Amino acid sequence: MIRKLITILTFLLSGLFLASCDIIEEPKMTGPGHNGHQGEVVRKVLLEEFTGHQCPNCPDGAQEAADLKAFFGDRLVIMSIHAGFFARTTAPHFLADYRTTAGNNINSYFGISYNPVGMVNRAGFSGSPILTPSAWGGAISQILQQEPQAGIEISLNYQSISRQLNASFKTTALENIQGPIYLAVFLVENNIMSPQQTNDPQYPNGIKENYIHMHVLRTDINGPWGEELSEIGAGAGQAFMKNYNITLDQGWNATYCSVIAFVYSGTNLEVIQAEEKKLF
Amino acid sequence: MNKKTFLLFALAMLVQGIFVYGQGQGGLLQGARVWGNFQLDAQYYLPDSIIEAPDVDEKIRMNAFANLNFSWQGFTMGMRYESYQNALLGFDPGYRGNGIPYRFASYQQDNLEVTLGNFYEQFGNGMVFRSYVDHNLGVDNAMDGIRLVYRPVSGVTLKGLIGQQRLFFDKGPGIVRGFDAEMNLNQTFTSLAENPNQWMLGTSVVSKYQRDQNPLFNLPENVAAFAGRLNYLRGALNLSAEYGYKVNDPSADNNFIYKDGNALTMTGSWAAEGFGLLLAAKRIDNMGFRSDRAASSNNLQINFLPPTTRQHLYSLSGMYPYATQPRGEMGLLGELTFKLPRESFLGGANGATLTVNYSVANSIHKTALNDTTAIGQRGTKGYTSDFFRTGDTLYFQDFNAEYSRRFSRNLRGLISYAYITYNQGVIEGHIEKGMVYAHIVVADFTHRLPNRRSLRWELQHLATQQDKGNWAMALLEYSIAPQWSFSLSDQYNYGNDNKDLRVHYVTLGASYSKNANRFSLSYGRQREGIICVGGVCRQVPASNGFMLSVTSSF
Repeated sequence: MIRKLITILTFLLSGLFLASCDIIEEPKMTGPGHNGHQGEVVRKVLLEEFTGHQCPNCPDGAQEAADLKAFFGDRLVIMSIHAGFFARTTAPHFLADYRTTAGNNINSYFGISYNPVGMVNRAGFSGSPILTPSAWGGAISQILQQEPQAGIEISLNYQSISRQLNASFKTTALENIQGPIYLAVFLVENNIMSPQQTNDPQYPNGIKENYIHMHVLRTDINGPWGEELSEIGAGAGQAFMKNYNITLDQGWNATYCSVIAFVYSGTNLEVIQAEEKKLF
Repeated sequence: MNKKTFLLFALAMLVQGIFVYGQGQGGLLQGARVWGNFQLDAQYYLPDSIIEAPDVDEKIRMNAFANLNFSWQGFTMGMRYESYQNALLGFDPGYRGNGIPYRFASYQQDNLEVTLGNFYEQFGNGMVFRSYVDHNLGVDNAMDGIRLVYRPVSGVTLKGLIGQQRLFFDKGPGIVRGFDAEMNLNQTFTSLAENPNQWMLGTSVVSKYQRDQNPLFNLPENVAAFAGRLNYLRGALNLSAEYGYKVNDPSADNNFIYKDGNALTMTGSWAAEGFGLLLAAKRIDNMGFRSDRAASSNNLQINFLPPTTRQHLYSLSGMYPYATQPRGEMGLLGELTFKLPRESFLGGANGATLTVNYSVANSIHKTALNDTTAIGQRGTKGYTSDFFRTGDTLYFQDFNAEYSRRFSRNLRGLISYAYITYNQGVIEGHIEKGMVYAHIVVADFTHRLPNRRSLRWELQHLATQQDKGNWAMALLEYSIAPQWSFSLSDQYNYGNDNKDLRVHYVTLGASYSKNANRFSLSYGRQREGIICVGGVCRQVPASNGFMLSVTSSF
């Protein structure tokens, strides 16, 4: 009997080494982060947020994006893509149509079937580029630890009367880049007020009428997948110039519009560098 | 050993095993055994805007898998090949392509079992650890690592494991470590061997490690959970209880709060001549436990929180299934089963069975930490909760009764009624959707016909003023045993407030079985809905088209 008990006790105690845990005391949340450096090319990261005004969980995703933007500042570029089932228009509340050809293409290509999710530089994490909001921060942190491979300079010339926008881009490789590379350019708009479904208990009918939509993709400027800069890659120091013109839709408020540009690999679609510039 | 090497090795072993198996006595691997199974589900999707069926660019999609296993003496090896071309609607698109996500080798010697590679395991009820697969739900959180099972003395089982969990064709970022000890006192201590009181004790500890890369929070990288359980048996009386506790584990499941979690389940059953009683109670508080803090849906769950509600099998009574709420719930279940004697009023000539079941699930009571912190505010301890106090929100309630009887030699049938209260806002996560109150009646009768034929019919009706309103359903199934079966069914949403959506969901199907092979083909509409197994659920979008299913085992 005693031998049995000793044997059992020994094995039980040996199992206790698995009981490792970390108890977090204050502070549980970190302070504000760094907003990048002045006057030098730094790594920036693109967050493509897939959302829809009929998605009740999406305000939580948007809040996560806002928190991350406050933390990472200019080093984080956000593009909110309204596409799929949750972005459809339905009377009487959801009449604003934020769907775009480019957004639908990207949504469909990556097989987005639920919202909110996002892609960080279109890079794979645990086998998939599709990440839930709470995974965005970790993914962004990982990518920002990398040295920049390219720099993008954006020059904008917007004529308010004609609503013509001329956008020039200089992409410079900072190191040798293998394989085809593309430049994709989009227009996004901030501060759009329209109803949004929500799970916030403050809104018992599940709709926040005066919701502010941020980073809303309005249109692509050079196609949903951009334009090829080079079929064979680029050597360190090699620069590529591109220029595009578009006319802004009357329904878009240019004051809150920005141009987002990013360079990505044609081999694995991963974003190499991203940049954003406001029209004003 | 990489996958290709393992595959070649496994195939070589299988071929050798088959050869020896065929040779009978005297082969090198005498007594070797090969077994496995295959399943294919494919659907050809047709556009159907009326039921809002999503467009499917591929037209055809397919899920398939095959298990191949080989054993010889104490050694066992196996693997599962899976193919998603692409995954059927309703399954996570992460299931894409082909691969061998499951392979293992194990041996047993001197009471020690060693498993290398993938394995499934469960500690107790699964409150702190359960690794399992359910292909119909698209759930597979198989471990990839090492498992040891040791039985040092009679009645004692010790399990230790370490590894990562499967995430589609990859693995989750967290490492899971676990240990479980279970003792059957009556087997371990010979003095208790004849004692009518049977006792079983168990304890588990599981911890996970995941690197903290989140810029907004200081997160615990190691999170441990503990559980203890007790099972008492005496004749027809069976009592069991399990209590689990988890330290701070901020995650997407709990909106990144730092509160510890806990859970308690208790069940008791008793049976006597013609009578059975089942009682269950549970309380869950912040017990979601995954090997990736950011995971959602059914991905990377380390534990399993058992449901205390009845799982309805008929399509309309199963329309509003309950899904366990890991953030917090209190639940009760009671079930009485009566065997009605022959020649009684309700028993008839052949006797009958009457089952009455009631279950309820409520929120737990939560109190804010202080005046300035909202309940559940992320980055805080979240809330405090009185263990014995229920919350104000009803999640689910189900009263149902089922009467089954053999009316004559050639006719048996079942009649059931259920009244379900379903909090659609909480269970489906859409706050604007309120409570659904549904009355469901089902009749299911089977007529035995000459020459091993039978005709089964179902009539179902669901009455509700909420959600999509009333439904009626009818089914006819003609079987020629043991091979053929033909069915025609229609679900009609005749009570939908929107007259355009008063749609018939007609399905026509046939199946053919021979020995261990089964083929089935059907055509029709499938309504949008939720499939749940054991409290774990999957949303299924509406679809229209042809469905093919093939299953086989050897």
